[in-house]
Amino acid sequence: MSQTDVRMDGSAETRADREATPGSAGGRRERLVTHRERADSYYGRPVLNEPTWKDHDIAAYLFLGGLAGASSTLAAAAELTGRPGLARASKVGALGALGGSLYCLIHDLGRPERFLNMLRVFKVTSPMSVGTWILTGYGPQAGAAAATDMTGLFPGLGRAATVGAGLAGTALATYTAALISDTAVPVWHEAYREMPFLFAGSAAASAGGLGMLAAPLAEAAPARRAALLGTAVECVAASRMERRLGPVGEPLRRSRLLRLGEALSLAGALAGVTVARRSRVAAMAAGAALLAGSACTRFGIFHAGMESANDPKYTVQPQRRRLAKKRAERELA
Amino acid sequence: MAFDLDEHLNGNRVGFFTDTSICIGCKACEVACKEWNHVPEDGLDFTGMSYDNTVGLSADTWRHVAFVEQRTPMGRQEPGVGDMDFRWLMSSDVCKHCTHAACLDVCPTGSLFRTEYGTVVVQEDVCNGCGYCVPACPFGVIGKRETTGVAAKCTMCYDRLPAGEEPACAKTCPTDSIQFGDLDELRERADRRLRQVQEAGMTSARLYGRDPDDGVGGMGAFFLLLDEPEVYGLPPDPVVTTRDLPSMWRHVGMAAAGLLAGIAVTAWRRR
Amino acid sequence: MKRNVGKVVEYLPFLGIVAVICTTSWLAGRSSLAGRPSLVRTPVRR
Ligand code: SF4
Ligand code: SF4
Repeated sequence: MSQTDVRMDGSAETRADREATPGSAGGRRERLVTHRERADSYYGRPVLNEPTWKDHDIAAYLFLGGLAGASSTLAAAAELTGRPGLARASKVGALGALGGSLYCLIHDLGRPERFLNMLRVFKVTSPMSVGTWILTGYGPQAGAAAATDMTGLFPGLGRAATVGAGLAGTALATYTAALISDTAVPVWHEAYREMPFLFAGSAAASAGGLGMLAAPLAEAAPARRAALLGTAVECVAASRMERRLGPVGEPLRRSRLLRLGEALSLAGALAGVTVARRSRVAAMAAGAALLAGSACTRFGIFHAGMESANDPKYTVQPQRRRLAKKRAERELA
Repeated sequence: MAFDLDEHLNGNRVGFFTDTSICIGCKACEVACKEWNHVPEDGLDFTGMSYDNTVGLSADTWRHVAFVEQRTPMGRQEPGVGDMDFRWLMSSDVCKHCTHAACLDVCPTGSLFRTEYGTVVVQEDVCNGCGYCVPACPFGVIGKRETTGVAAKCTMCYDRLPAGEEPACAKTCPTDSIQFGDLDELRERADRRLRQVQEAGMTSARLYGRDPDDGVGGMGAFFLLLDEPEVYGLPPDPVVTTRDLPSMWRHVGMAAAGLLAGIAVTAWRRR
Repeated sequence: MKRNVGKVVEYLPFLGIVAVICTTSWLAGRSSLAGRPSLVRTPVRR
């Protein structure tokens, strides 16, 4: 193979032009060396390329996928404990959320007609590939669960599909954390420890919210408790994340969407275990607040990540600190 | 890492060594790349960033020449601009063809693949434009092309290599700032060159991406820089995002189990 | 102004999806009150 080796004379002794040395001309007059400030970016340009994902597709998918997965789990739990109303509402909700998820995922592709190319391979190194296969396993079961429940046909198959979708649903609701964390986007990547718990909590809260909104009061107790528990987990995970990330967590701490999401979820969850136990209208309002809260949280996380990708300081400074630490450790050793 | 790419390729791995100390900022590489690879025009703007008008690497810019103006001495050289120290740094940036390439790891369609030369290439006809590779790349190299909807980046002229031709940018570079060849040999050459430049008084010179133990396992395209990487818009300590993926999956597993247990508990009580 | 309208339009599919999910799920929850099954009657087995 031809290589860069521009030599006309073939002699190894002659210096090639590429051996010209910068700064060797000499003769620099002594000057008061002005203190150099350290530039930490190239004209303030981001180091990373901005994710091409759109919030109305991918942030929406984070929400809908969580809602679908956790609703299926809730449906399975409700069915096994003799709450057919909650089970049915959750199954139908899960199926709708699944459809919405697929719409968002496909809509965000540059070439939607090539969606099925995702099924060419299975790669554990790609959460998107893993997620596609989770959806492939979960989708038919969620569909069968809802269809058998609504029609009353094949109850045995329906039971199996309900349980299967309930189990697969936990994977669907949480893998999305790995999906966004497995990027170079500082906020998303650095938060990978808390992200799955935050997403699981947010998913449970939204599924609980949908259950409260749709199921008969008498059967909605698990939904109310799931909403409360989910909201608690979500809030704890979020505050731990914001603290642990230090300077990188700034976009999270600044996010108004995240604060709004927390407020809505907390209000919904607290209303859920108080007034919504007796009043249908209150239950519906609390459920709607929980759904809105979960959606705000997902959009908030999404936008905080975008903000961190678009500002070089979130990429450069942590890496510099890491290098300095490594250097210090080497010197100590 | 268990998998050693260099060993696997049996010394067949090729690469770029971009020696920025002799770059003159002529942008011939940008032009040659666009022409050979039919990379579409992506705006001719006046950016005010010195002589830079391509801003950064993207789907439609596969070689990008950075221009940095600094009030800092260039070794022992007299700049001759009055009482001011001055130097002009130029560097032609490109896809690093990482040993551990995040873009390749996360691609869910298998569109991105590792070639027999050790480079990383997108298959345009397979990519469905999911865009996952874009935020995965720690260098901000790969992008999604608006017109076609699929990802695009430097291929190290995959179509020229079998013919025994070097990539278009290296071929055209008038100063040999871009050198193409066998990666091991380039690394040796770069070590020699670094010593030479440092002895000439450029103590801030350093190699970037040469070390096979760095966060991306060494880059197939590495650089000799005259200042900190971030000055050129490069991340100072890039790490392949999938390095933390095993831990991510463990956390996801715990959260999924927790979700299951939590919902089971909420449904347990009758009332 | 036009840009803003365009922006809002982008979110309509998502809002629509959420509205559909809530309504269908609510209807399903209600239908269960009327005793199941609701759409198709399975013959009562003796
Ligand atoms: S520099 Fe970015 S696009 Fe190039 S191989 Fe590495 S991760 Fe992929
Ligand atoms: S945009 Fe194309 S090349 Fe990039 S990860 Fe998706 S399918 Fe792979």
